[in-house]
Amino acid sequence: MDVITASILASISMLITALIIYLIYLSVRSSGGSETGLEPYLCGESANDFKDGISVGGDNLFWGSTLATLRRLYEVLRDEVHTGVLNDWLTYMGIWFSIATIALFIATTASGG
Amino acid sequence: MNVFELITYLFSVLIYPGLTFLVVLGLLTQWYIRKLVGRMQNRIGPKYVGFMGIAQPFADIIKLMFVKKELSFRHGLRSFLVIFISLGMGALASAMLFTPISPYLIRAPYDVILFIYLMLWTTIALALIGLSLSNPFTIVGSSRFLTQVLFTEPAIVMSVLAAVIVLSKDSEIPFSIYSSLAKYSIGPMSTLVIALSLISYIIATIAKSMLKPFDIPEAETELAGGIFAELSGPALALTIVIHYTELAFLNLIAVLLFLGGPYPLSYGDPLGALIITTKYVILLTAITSIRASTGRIRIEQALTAILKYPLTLSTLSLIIAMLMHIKLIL
Repeated sequence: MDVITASILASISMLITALIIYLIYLSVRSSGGSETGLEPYLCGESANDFKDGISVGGDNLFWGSTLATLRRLYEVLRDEVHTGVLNDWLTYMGIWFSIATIALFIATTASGG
Repeated sequence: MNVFELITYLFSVLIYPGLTFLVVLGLLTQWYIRKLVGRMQNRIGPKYVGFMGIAQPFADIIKLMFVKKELSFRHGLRSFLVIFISLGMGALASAMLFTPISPYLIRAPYDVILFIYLMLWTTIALALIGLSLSNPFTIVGSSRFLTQVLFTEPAIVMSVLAAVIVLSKDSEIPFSIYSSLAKYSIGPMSTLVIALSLISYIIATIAKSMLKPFDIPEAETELAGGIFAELSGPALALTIVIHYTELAFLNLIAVLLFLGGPYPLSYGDPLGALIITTKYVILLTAITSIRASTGRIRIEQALTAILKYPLTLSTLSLIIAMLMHIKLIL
């Protein structure tokens, strides 16, 4: 079969399965009943006690990837690449374009182009 | 598509190796992990329901679905998260149609891209569970999960791609999952690529499945369950099912793609299923041993470990596979 037919068949099977699971969930939920409008669980604290609300700041959300793990990469980019000297910038761009050209060469050769 | 093909297609999607098979396999996988971790930690593990407690995960799911009430919180998008869990389960069931164990086969040139796309749906579903609930614990859990998969997903994708490039070489259908899984005989360089990809894939699978030492998004003692903190009743049951179904799926794909499936037998052989099961249990035992013998690490330690090992190994194996493909390496 061709790629389009494969994509259509895969999508249909995905949607059929999802629909069946969702219908099972709806039937079970409506028969079992539910309690709505509850306060979020905050280890016994009340949401009203927090002056700025209970949302989490964007800086805290990706602290692990942006600060802790990739700190070295940022330091290199800031201290080695962005020195303000034109020659450093040309060297950096030269290296970058060389890598991009090699990657392009490998990609076109691999695809037989 | 005639009537017989339609029935085979629906059977493959809904029964074997689709939805029903995956859910049963996922819950049996959960039982095996709980039992083995229990024994390793000098506990009994599941005991009361069924032989050696084998039916305990099924009893837990039935209780959550039919007995427990579902609590819903202010500002929470409950239907939204269940829709995405359903789509994630559907994507896994659909991806199984690409494997040779399915009676109805989907195979096309470059279908590996479609397969990888389907594999990613469960990640989206699990990440959206936490983001759809208005609780700081679930939101932080989701952000940790997203941060972690930012590094694990490329490792899984590159491992699968490298294996498919090597295994589908010289086949009639290029870069097809079916052609890759149905091939048994490979050379020494291909074996190296498969070995590197397998190590990378296994570590990334442990991280993606949030098993120790990568259970940072759950972190019971720190985040009160993280992305699962606010769930209850049927929504919690579906979340547990998708969590373990994904682990079972990833483990099964590792057996079929990297460990040769039923090799030295073939897919048509009745004893082939026994060999696949044996390889599956061995791989699961290895993953469970790591889970039982390690403690949780911090998020930046986890990311550094993933960068150092699975991501580097998978990049290396993909580069070797590409060089083999353009015949720079034989």
